[in-house]
Amino acid sequence: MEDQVSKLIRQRDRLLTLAAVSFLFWQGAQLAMDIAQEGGWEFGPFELVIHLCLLAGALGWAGASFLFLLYASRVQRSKAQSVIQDELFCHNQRIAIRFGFMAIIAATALLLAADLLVDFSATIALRALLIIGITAQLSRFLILGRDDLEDES
Amino acid sequence: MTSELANRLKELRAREGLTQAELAARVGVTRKTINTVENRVFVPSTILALKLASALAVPVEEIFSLEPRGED
Repeated sequence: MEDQVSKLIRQRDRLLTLAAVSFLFWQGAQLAMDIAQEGGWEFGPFELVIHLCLLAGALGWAGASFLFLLYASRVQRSKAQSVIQDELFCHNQRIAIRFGFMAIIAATALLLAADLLVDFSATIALRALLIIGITAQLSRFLILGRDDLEDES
Repeated sequence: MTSELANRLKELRAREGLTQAELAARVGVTRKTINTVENRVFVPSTILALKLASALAVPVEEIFSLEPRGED
């Protein structure tokens, strides 16, 4: 049972990593394109790289979402859901959500300050907040899950 | 004066000859949860504390106790 639980937790962490990285690439590339469009800049030789990041990120995010559906049914079949989502999981989830929230507040303050210096559209600001909120939360959760301490005696 | 929760979980688990994984299976949590409780990273709920006491067949206060925080 423990082997199965460990395996399912490892799978979940891999999926979360894929989701976080994909989302960062997908929306980060989109943000770069939005900024360039507003500023009237061109990427030149990096245009292809930006488009590839966008495509890879979007495909990765879609893939991660689909794999999460498969993962959820696998967890349900294993009857290990209550073990996987035990109180440490809920505790770490709460910390990660709070961290994401604080990151959004800090980013909002920075964007407000930046707005005094440069003009940018609401789309850029909202996309930046979305990227920060989601990746901060997912990364914090993954880091909390990795902190393994002194093991078996 | 502030206090923190100390525990003798590792010692009592070893006395019972259980691994973290075995104890985790008995109380229905992951091995990591037992690991973080033993290392005082995570403070368990009353329900989990009572389940641990029951799994180790000891009163809950034999596992957990309050101790003053280091700087006090």
